[in-house]
Amino acid sequence: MITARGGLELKDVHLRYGDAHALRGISLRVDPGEFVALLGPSGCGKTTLLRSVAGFAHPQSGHIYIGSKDVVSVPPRERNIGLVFQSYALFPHLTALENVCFGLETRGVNVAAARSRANAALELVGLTGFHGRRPIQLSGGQQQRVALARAIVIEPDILLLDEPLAALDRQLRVQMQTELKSLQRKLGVTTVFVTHDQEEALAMADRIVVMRDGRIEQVAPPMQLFAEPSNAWVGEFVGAGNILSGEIVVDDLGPTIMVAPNWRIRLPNGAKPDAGKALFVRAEKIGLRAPLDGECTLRVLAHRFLGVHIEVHLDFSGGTLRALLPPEKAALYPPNSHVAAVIDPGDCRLLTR
Amino acid sequence: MAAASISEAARRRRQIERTLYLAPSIAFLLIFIVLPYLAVFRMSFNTFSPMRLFVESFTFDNYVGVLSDPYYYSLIFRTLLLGTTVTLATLVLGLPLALKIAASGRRMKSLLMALVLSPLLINLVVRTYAWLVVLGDKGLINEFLLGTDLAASPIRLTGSFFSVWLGLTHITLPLMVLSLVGVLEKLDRRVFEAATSLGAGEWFILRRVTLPLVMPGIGAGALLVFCFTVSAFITPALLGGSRVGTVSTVIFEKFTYSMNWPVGSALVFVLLIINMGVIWLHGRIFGEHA
Ligand SMILES: Nc1ncnc2c1ncn2[C@@H]1O[C@H](COP(=O)(O)OP(=O)(O)OP(=O)(O)O)[C@@H](O)[C@H]1O
Ligand SMILES: [Mg+2]
Repeated sequence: MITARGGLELKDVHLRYGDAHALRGISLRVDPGEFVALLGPSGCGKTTLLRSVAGFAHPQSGHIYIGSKDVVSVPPRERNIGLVFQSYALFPHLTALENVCFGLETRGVNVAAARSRANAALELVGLTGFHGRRPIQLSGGQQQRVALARAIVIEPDILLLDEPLAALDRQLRVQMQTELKSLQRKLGVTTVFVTHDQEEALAMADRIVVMRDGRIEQVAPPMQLFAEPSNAWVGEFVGAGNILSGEIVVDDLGPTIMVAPNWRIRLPNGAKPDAGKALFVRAEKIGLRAPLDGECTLRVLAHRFLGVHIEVHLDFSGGTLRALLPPEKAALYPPNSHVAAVIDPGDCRLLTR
Repeated sequence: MAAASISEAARRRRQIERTLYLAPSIAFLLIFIVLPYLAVFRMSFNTFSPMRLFVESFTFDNYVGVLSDPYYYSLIFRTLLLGTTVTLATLVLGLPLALKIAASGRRMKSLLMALVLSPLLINLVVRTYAWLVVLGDKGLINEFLLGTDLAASPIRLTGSFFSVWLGLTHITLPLMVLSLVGVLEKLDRRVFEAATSLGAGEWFILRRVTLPLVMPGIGAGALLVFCFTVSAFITPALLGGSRVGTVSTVIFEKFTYSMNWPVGSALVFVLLIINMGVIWLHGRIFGEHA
């Protein structure tokens, strides 16, 4: 139905709302047909970035290319963008079918053709038999599908989705993630998807853009982002990462980081010891065992049951740690017991703070 | 069984309490609205007597008289025409204004709202006299026309349907604008962004999105303006004089100068039926939207 017509590129986009600097030099390339997720904490500028691409927010400087065309001065109605809002923003006075037809009407498609294309789009998103209903007569998930059909029926160059699944319950959300992803594959439309649910980003995106405070911290495919965060903040934000800091001490076997007076961790091979850096280790890479004499001990603060795993919260003189263990392992170390942590230098990365 | 009767008693007590809360307002309505209306209703079946004011009787003659006299036809027609044209005028003038207000930033919004509402802050009689100052034979417009030799003698602007229409449009415009702004303000801004991103231009959005969504406000505004206009007295009396009577001014005339209370009373109910008819029509048209 749709073949990717072009990618999206942002070059050094700055946007200020009065004193608030919402976008501080955003540069990003999205390849034709690619699915990119914008991930970041609340207020980091995800919506602003999306609205700039759609033309509803106006950057003070920078360029935005759709295909090879700079659209900064193109009015929103001429950008040929499919937008899905978190609140769906369906036309409350129109039926599901009329909602989907709207964008075809504005393009002068005749009524019969518009109807058949709208019907096809509704079928594509898995919504049949609700054509005559008004938004208020549809469930949240059904409204979501209408919004999606309305956005894709116009065969947009770019599909922009701002937390489109946030209002759905967990089960439906997971189902929609899968459907949305396969629909995007089928259509091959260049897609930017905003979320602050990192599982959602990991599950759906070809690449994830991690934003913080108006800047892009890292752009990477999900696996790589998970395994190789570019800095300590990303490591902590994406997945349960642990950050350990301390003085770098070089002994005869090489550099170590002293995370507590009686606990040194050897740096990973090839890591350049450097002040202002911290050790990053994923929670599931931390092992626990009974402490030996004189060894740094950690106190178990609490257990958090996550389904398959238990997250064990630990506390020691140098800070806190989170370890992810299978329930039978975690049961050996109940809250308030004392343990030692086993960390393999090979699982660690040295990151900029 | 015992439990059921206890809860039954409690329920009844709650019901009585609830009625007691309403008692003052019900009493007020009864004494000051229903009773006078009943008295006027009764009066409308009496017979007019030049010597004795009226004679107690029970006759439909007043209604038959009003509804079979071409004079009253044209009176009712003029009143309805006034109501309709003033409503249309406030809609045509008020909609762009309301759209502008709803789309403005905070400061511009309060400025425009103050401007729109300012007529409501001035006494109705004073406002109407202001129109006399503008429209009168020695008023601003005629002074200008005479001064610039555009007219040889003053043009009669007052005492016409136009002057009454103009005055009432001015006075009722805030009612329409307030109704429209109230609805526009509540609309989701994103719906308009969605329409824009789907390629709709301003006119397309106005026709296909804004107007349908603001319909309840149009209905409420039209109802307010129409009922206000057909029941208005001071403005048609001052700006229309005796030549442009409306049902309201003739009611006043019947109760005062000609002392024909029975016919005046019948006219009161003609006006009431017009207003109720409009309210019914509003319910039929806009009932679903609410
Ligand atoms: N219209 C506006 N006027 C002023 N400041 C704004 C406006 N819109 C957004 N901001 C500010 O810009 C920053 C980025 O906002 P944005 O809505 O893009 O965040 P977000 O990443 O989408 O957050 P969330 O996940 O909560 O939706 C915030 O600090 C916000 O307060
Ligand atoms: Mg947002």
